[in-house]
Amino acid sequence: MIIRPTNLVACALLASLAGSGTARAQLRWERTEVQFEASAAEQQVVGVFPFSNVGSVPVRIESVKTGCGCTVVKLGRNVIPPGESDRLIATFVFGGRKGEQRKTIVVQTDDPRSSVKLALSGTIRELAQVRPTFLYWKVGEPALSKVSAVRIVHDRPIRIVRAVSATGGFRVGLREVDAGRQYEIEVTPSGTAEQALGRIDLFCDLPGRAEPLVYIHARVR
Amino acid sequence: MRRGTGCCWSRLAREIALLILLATVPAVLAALVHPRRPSMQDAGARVPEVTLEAVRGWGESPVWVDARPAADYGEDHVPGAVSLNEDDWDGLLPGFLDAWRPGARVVVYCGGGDCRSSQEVARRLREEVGIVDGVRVLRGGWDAWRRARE
Repeated sequence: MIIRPTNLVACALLASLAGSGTARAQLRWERTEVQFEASAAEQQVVGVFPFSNVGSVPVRIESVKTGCGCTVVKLGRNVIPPGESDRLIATFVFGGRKGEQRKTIVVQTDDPRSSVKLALSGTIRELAQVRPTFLYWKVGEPALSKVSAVRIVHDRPIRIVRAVSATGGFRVGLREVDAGRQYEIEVTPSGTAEQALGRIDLFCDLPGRAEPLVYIHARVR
Repeated sequence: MRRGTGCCWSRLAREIALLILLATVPAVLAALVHPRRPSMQDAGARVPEVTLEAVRGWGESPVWVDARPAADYGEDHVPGAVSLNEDDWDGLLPGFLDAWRPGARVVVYCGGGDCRSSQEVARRLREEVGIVDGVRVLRGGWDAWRRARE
């Protein structure tokens, strides 16, 4: 038989289709990503990932690894008989996290085709962003003012009503750039001859909120 | 008339090009719609990494930041490292600020392997705290430190 280039193309095409990622895996996951949007007041999100063994032999889940200690995983059983279903429950505890988040869970089984990466992805909404959250002066540097910008990212406007130096050693000025949306906090050290540390607390007009909305840290080092 | 070998090679080249084109179409489709496609979000801006060998070559010790959970830090950590993780960012940040000094290099580590906590902590130090220069992530993380120590 003469092997023609056309035959080679056909053979290669068939081989690639047979070995492609669309080949049927034994564990079929109903979803591999759970998206969320959390308010600033929420503490965690729970993602449920149902799956089924659509193959003809049992599948053993050998390991479940998360990329972060903040994500805890619960699995009903490690060996899934053919034709049966189960689910993996992942709880992502926010802690001090804010903004866009993506936490992954890698599930390894004894069947390489069934190993998968799951994800919890979404946004932890903040009320306000401060940039930078840290102002510093070197010892001996001129005690000039430095400014942090505060941007309210909440759906509704929030008024910053008071900026207080919680620890002393720094003078604080509050400037409204756009009422309820943008503020500037001007911080001036009383002196830079010696090291000093301070924290500026920003209070807002949110009903029922007694604690500061955000903090700015200050240091003379 | 006998056909030259150039004709056969050019035909082969066309067949190879056709094969590549045929493979590209399903590959692009899979990248767009496959349920297990990798997320583009994973390929975001990363804080540069540094090896332990390079850190030792700096001559002066950086501010080490341990981005692992508090329990891991309590069990063992790089000598002198401060704990700073996202589980308790507001509570731990003052401790880091006390340890930091202007011009100091900062090296953040977590468990190693698939751990991304060090990248997240380093990113927040740069973007929120404003320490842009000199922040690096230790390649290999705590695993690399432990292996070098043994």
